[in-house]
Amino acid sequence: MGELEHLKAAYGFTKGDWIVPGEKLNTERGIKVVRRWANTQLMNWHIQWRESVDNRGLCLINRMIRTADGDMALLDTKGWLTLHDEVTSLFSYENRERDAAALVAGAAAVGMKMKGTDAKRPVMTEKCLLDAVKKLPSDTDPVVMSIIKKTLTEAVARLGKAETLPAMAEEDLPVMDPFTGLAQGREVYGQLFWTFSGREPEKGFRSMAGFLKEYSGAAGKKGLIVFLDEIDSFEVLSEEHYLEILREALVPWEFIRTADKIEKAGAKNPEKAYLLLEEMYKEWEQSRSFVLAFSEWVDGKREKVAN
Amino acid sequence: MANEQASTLSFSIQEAVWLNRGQEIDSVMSLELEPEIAIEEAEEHVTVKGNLVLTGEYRPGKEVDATQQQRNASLSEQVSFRSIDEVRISEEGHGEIRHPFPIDVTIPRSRISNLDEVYVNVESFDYDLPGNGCIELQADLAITGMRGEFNAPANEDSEENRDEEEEEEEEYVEKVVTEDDLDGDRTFHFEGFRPPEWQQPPQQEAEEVEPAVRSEPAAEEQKISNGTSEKQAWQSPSYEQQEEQQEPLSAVSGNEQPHAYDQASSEEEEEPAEDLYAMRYEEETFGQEEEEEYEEYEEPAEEQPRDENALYLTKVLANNDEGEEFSRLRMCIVQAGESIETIANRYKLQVSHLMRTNNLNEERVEEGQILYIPTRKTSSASS
Repeated sequence: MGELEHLKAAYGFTKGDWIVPGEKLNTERGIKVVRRWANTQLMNWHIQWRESVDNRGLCLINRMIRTADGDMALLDTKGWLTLHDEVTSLFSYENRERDAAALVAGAAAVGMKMKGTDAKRPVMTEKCLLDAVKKLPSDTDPVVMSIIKKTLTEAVARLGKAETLPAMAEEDLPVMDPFTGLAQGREVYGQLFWTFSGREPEKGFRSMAGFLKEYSGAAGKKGLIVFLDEIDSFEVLSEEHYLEILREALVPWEFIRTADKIEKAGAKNPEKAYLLLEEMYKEWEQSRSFVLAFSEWVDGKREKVAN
Repeated sequence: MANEQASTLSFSIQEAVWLNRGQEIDSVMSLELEPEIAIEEAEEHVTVKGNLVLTGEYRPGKEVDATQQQRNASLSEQVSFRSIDEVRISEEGHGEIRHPFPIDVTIPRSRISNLDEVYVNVESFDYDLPGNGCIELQADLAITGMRGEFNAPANEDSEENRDEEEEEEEEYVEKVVTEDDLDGDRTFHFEGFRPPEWQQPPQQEAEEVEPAVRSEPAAEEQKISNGTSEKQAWQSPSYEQQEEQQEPLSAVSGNEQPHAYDQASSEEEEEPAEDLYAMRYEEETFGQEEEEEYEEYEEPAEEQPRDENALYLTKVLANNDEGEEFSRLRMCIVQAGESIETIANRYKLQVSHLMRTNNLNEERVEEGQILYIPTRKTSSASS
């Protein structure tokens, strides 16, 4: 029996045609996407994660479609696979902040209960920053090198500021499916449909900080504040969580990522390096305005409590 | 009856520049005051407009009471950081000063015989450090190439004529000081203004020729950070590994490594701890003469729109001098271990030239001594 026939039989489809062989198929119940899992443990974690989030009734999610036998995954000759609905329309966050906020708060709440993974909080040290610069080829374009070295100083300062903020104990950090961007929010039948990434689970708030940063860039400071107020209204996250988010936003991930990319681009491609620096600059500015808006929001919360 | 002679409009400025928090000064290493000024010719008047730009290098002081500052500061003050184009620490760990003093002088066209002879010169300047984060600057400026007009003795002077003259005098020099609209804790104020020497009446009323002083928002340091359009960003993925695809869009294998930096840090090799700055500014690695690089550094052009050029930052940070139009005065504070030869070499000058400029009788300088560095006077202003 071919792969397609096997799938149709297992999931009870009467009609099924490949749109992208092995990846996407059209059925009488809509377009479905196949996800193959090389790591069974990871697959099991995601099954558990999505079921837990789904049980909270926050919004629609890309949960694992059950087979005709009620299983959430299917084993075939190539290994384990899961099947998911495909939704392509992007969710519009404007004036619907509460829907997305419910998902963010709900994911954090589930994450605080998700134990038993080897996930560790991503760590950045000053040495990582220095090493990233050290690795650049010695014949790197002098202008590029000059900018990188000037930025390194401020990147170290950013890291220093992050380190002055109180850190939560490792065991108290949530373990979540990493946020990858605003595009995770899709819309179907007028409702939010959240597409989880399926990546290695992440401990802590690094990707959530990135998500909020992107949100801030898209919605502006006002929009961000509305969104944060909505998240806060679910009373899942406390000040110590918010400070963790702030810590992550302060860590200059974009610097190290750019230095790595410049190294990979090679010294003979300064134009590419200039473009990478421009990208870093934009992201740096996004981080800067987010950190400012977010910290002012936390300050505002503190004032309310004090009064 | 009018008497014509080449003349100079001289005036002094006295300003206080406060550096941002975290930019306290331990000692000043060099200061330079350079006019970045354009001369515009209109039908009835000529405008000398631009900035006197104070640049220099200083050794940052230790953060006094940093803990206390942290304790008193709000969270947002504690965590705010600088934009990349605000970074002013050189690769040797020295702080960089850059502060524009706006200048706007309007001169009646009739007072200028030849526009090509108009120069703005910084004749002298000096500074004081009243507090760690403050530089007090005093400078004498001169606009050359003007035509002096002196009326004959007042035997024919009617009341009307005098009134007209006074009016003319008042509009003769309009000095517009544009208030610095940078950070709230950076201030300077206009304190001193002297009417043109040639116009100072021999008798009295020197004070009456007051410049019109008004404030206007300076566009100079408009932060490019404000330029991000809110709409565009809705579509800009900006964090995590962007090249990875979303699960529902295509099938992917499950062994991504999202925490590359975590791994990097856990795979740290056992290397001796290195001094940050020592590593950061390894000259042999980067083959740059930092001093030169610093001197060539120049700020972005005013009001350059952020999205105009994709390589904005690169240009901003890598810009070289493009034609010096005015003379400038530069000073250097002798550091420990420096000799007149090292300083002359640094500025590519002859020792004798340096000695002459500074009226030195012997080839010996001491730490802390101020040396004036002669610089070229190039072309005159363009209209």
